[in-house]
Amino acid sequence: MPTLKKTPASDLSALLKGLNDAGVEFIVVGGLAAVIQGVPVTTFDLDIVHHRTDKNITKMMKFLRAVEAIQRRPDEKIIHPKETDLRGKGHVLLTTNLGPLDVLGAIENDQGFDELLPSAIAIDFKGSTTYVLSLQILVELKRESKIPEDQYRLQIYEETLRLAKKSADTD
Amino acid sequence: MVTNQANNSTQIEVDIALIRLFLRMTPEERLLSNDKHIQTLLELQNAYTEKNASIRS
Repeated sequence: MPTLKKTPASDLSALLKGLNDAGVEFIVVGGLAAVIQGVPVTTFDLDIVHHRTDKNITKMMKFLRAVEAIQRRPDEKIIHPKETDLRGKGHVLLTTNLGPLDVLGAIENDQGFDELLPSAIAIDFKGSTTYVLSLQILVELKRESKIPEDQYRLQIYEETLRLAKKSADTD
Repeated sequence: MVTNQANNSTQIEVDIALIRLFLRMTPEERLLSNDKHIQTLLELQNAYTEKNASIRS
């Protein structure tokens, strides 16, 4: 079985634009959602929760083929994602030619696209409406997390949320 | 971002000035900033890897 040889590129803005241009319905969650809302951290991958409808999965598969997506695996074997991978609530961790992309069927408490959409904010990114999970919810998820790195970053998220609210109140 | 480790190991000092700077940017500017940071970090990692490889050879 072939294995990955080269270091993958990373252009998360282009990855995001590509998803929008492909007409994929998704919500940005995770570190990049925090970055978009002003949290000064650096993140290396794009985490999204996708809408698990037949039509959307077809669009997603077409996009994933276009960006040469393969599963991100410790053994670096080249395995392409399948439609069935995107139908469940599981997490599909991929490497693409635009950077790492984590496609999540659902996150904490089984929350998928429909459940998260009311908690998402809409931003205009390069001419497309892009849904991003709100910083308030990201903070709540971090508070519940048992991962040490999440606890470490929580204070930065909380402080950003506090300052953003304060700034909004004074505007 | 994290300036100093405080006495309590679970507490960190948060760089408020850096947060304010980032909040003044648009979402698109923040994404581009993140991309630039990644590129810089990858270039530094590659330089470090090449340096180590040249020492070994």
